[in-house]
Amino acid sequence: MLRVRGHFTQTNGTNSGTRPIFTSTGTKVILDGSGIQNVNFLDPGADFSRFHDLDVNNTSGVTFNSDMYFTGQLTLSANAVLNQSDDFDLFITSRMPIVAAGTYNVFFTRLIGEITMTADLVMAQNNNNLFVQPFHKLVIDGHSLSVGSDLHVTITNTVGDGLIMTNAADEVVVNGDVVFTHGTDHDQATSLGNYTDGVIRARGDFIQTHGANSNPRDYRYAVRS
Amino acid sequence: MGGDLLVTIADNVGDGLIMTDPSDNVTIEGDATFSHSNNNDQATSVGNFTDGLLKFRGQFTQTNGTNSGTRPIFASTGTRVVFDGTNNQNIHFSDSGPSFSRFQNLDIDNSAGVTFTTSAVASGTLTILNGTVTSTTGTVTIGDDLVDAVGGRWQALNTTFSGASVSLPATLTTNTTFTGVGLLENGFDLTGDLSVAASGNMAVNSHTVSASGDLGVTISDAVGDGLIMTNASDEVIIHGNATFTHASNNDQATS
Repeated sequence: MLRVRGHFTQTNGTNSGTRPIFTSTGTKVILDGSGIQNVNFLDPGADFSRFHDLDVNNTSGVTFNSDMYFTGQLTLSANAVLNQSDDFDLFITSRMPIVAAGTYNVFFTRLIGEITMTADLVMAQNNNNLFVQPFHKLVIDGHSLSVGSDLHVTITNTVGDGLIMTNAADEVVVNGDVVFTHGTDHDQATSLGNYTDGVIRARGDFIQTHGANSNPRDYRYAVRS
Repeated sequence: MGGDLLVTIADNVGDGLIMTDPSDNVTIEGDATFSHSNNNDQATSVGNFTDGLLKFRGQFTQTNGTNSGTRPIFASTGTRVVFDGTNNQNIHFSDSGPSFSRFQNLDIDNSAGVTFTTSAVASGTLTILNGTVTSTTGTVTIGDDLVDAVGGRWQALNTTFSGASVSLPATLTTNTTFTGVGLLENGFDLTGDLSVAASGNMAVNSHTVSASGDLGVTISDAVGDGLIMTNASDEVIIHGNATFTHASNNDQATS
């Protein structure tokens, strides 16, 4: 367990290339300062500098000033504040964040793993955009997911990627727009089998588009607004 | 010996003060100065201080002759040195270094305190029996353990630990750098900054380490250097900022 109460910075030496300089594969980092804490990774990446488990326990606010990658659990404690502007992305490979009574003020959360929800999640801020990235999946698995802004789902030729709703208790609420598309040059992409049960509540526009050179493909949604 | 001691060595092998027997016991009540002659750039005391006990009760100064280069003028490789004066004692090295002038095992037993006025090296264990230890500049490098059963009496400005398995006092006040293998034998509460230098590491080893200042960790191409946290009970608390980086021209570095 590594507790840091000031800023957290990953920088690098000259002529040393991009390397995994701070790469936690198990050590939990806790940011529990009393003042604003900035976090900046010069070489973020799933194979480079990244967090595994991170607890944000700072009511003054923690600000991510770069892209961030999480291979474990990102947790906000009660009244904790996490900020990341629309200049950066927050990537998650294994577990959806636990926001609880914290403020998850993150513009772009991108899922880049095979992620199965284990608890309900409310991303309450109206800037919370969620992306299920190509080749990856989010399985709702009987839980409720509420997205403050837009939801983007991109599927590919990879079987079973995208948003998976096959449980009667699945519920996805999108307060912004919901966009379904597929990757360019993925002419075998399909969501058949992805949406067999549960409910999607769309409160903004509902858009199905497609990638270039991918031909029309099947999309089936059960939507109740 | 009631007065001062001056030892000057030259290029002649084996000259100077020789302490190689376990029963050697020398006490200097006055000031002690170790130097070498002008134009003697091969002078060395390596091999002169391999055993016995050498007590200083005044000031300790290692200086040098002109045109003689940097040489190991006072280089203990086994003789235990004790500072046990009754007034504050200063320790001054003109040419300190792990291959130059240095202590091996060093005891501080002076209630009035001991002050390093330059950088210094103790290649073995440094033990505080009485008094506080401070410094006015530079870095004190310790090759093995720092022992202070009371805690809080090590107050040098900067300290480097270069050993492979390191025990530190429960509390200490200094900016600390680990340059060796650095397997911790215990936790500690540090007032100051904490650094792990490239090619060195600090393995927390199931202990708790707290630093009031900043943490700086630099890794290199050396496998396994840096801050090592591989036990579930490892805990490191940094009250200041934490910075992780790698050394220039080390394009295989990984944590």
